[in-house]
Amino acid sequence: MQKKKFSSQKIAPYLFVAPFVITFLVFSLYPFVSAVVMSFQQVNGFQDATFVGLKNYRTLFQDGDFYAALWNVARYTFWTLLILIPLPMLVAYVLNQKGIPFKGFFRSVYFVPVLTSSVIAGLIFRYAFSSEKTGVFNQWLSVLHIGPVDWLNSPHTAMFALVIIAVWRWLGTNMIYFLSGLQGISPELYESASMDGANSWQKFWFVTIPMLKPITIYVLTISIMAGFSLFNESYVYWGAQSPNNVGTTLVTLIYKAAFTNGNFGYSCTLGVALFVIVVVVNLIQTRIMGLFRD
Amino acid sequence: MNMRFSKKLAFGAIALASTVVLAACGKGSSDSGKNSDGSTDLTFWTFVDGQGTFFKDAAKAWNKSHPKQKINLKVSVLPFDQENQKLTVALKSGSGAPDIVDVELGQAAIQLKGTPQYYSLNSALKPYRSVLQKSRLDNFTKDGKTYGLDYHVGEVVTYYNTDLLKKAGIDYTKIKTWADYTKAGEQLKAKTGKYMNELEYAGMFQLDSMVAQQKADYYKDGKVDVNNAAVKRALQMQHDWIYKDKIARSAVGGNLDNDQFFAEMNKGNVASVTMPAWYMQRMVAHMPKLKNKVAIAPMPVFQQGDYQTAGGGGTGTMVTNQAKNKKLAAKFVVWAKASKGQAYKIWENLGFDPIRTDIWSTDRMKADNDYTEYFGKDIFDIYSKLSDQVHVVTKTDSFAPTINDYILKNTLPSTILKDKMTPTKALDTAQAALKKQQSNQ
Repeated sequence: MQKKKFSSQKIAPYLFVAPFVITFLVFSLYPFVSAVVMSFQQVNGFQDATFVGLKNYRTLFQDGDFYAALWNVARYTFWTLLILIPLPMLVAYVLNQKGIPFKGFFRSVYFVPVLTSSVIAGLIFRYAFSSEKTGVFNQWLSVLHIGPVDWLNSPHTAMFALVIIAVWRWLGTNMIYFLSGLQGISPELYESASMDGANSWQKFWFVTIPMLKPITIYVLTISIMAGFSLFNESYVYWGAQSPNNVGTTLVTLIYKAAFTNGNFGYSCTLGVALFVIVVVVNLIQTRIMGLFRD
Repeated sequence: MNMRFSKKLAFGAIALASTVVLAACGKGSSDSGKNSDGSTDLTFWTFVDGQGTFFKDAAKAWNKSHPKQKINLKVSVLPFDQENQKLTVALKSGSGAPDIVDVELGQAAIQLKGTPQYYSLNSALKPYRSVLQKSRLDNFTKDGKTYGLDYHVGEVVTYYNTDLLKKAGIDYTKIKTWADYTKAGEQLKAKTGKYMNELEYAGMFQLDSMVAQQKADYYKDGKVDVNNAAVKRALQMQHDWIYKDKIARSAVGGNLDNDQFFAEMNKGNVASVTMPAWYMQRMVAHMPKLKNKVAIAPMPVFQQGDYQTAGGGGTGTMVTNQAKNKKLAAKFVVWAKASKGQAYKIWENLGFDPIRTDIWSTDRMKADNDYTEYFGKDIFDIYSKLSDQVHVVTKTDSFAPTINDYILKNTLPSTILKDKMTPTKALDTAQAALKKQQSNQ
């Protein structure tokens, strides 16, 4: 009896985690492993695959589109990090102050874009960034006697269009993360800072920012992943082909290799490359931020 | 909790879960065979609402005329990209595909790659072949087997805004060659300041048509050949219209099949557009101001002997090899499009030029509908005259998507969108790059 009880207690936790583990094995690990396997294959049509060794990887390193896409997503990630960490932190800080009027209203307003579908938002922005004089952004510029600008067809303005939609969309999410972080900071810290004679800027700099570090690292990590796997916004702006690759992303290439060219092997090769890149960037990032040290 | 009970509960849960899973697996097979009323279930995926309705109606008509082979058609309308993705995954994994599916021409290349996972329509097509437009069947034919049947021919014509041309004193019926067209454009520009047309840099209908009308292609003996004289002539002409003759500009929105261009055309800012017959549907739906002002004319030509039309776009309905009753599905698909009564409905309900061309000259094609009200009753007089000139460029070869991709990404943006390269240089560059890619495959 004693023994049985022991075994049952031992089994129970496994049973409870089983749904997750099974789901993970079937829907995450298995596809991941088979993607790695497929990245070494040439897939001809639907039922026929042959191993081609490193051929796909050689193609990858000679593929100009791959470097163009990598350069695009790297720039995109850089700009989103530069804007989407300090700005939401500041907004959250302001909205967390006592005595700010319409606090709930502003919090909702910043969060609403997150709830829209990225495809619908992309469509609206595509019209707003129209090359015509009547496009929203060109109308604004015309007040300053600039333009009309062909936003989506030149490299710098195209990147601007991508970053703007990201800022509009993700400001709210990141703000929520920082708000929750701010609410976790003990008021006593601020009190003792006041007693030491710190002004509000010093309090923000020496108390708030260090205390928000775990949240900042989290936001940084997911932003890097999101940046490198950019797809929807680019696809809505340009579809699978953007003129001279101004909006091509790594996921655009993966999508195109698989569903336009039917080249599943190469598509998986690109996927593996994306995985390696994101892992490496995140490792460097956590090393610099000292995530695992303290 | 009693441990015996908890153990039972746990095993019970697992057993329950596995039953659910097994039941889900088994469902597919229990659907095969016939329903109690003798009808056979068939599933159909498409990406156009209208085509879904068309097939629903076709199933009703079929059941009336084929009481012994009744079908119960379940239609799913999916977004364009999603349909292709789901279909590709289902065929690759060997389960989950519908019985019948609409495959757009551009996607047919990957659907037919390797050993096609589709059922040949050859025997079902036998009674109809002589009345169907051949180049349209060829699009979906591989190794002598036809896997898809198109809705329409997609004959390319030039649509003129007669109101605008009148203001500039131009008679569109006098335009026979592209040189005439250019001259008319110059006259139009001088008198009204408006453009003769707009040119695609994120679309290939214009380039394809102007290549196809010269009986040329992007291929020669299975090898990529994008820098041949015909392609150069076509692209040079388009380039000249923008940068030399200044009678055109690059299309707003990148192609001629988007809301921004529809608005542009509707406002009367563009005098003509050369597009397939299905563009009539876009005009009726999105350019109400041009009602009764649009004339349909044959495409101008480069030189005598060129065709005055081409075939553009298309969607084939195909039967997958996962269909439970392939023979019945194939018979139904062919009947739904190629039988006489149904072919009329392709025109009346969908506004397409039906793939069955022998009905084009009948009176029923002149009957009142949204299209005859908009364009006049003689639409098919012009289409009929051109129906033996429909040449198409290769779109369903396995390398065709790569060619498309390259031209859309590099060649058109650096010649039509921006004047960065001469058409000759752009096409020579494309040929070199594509040749290398093709030999790597």
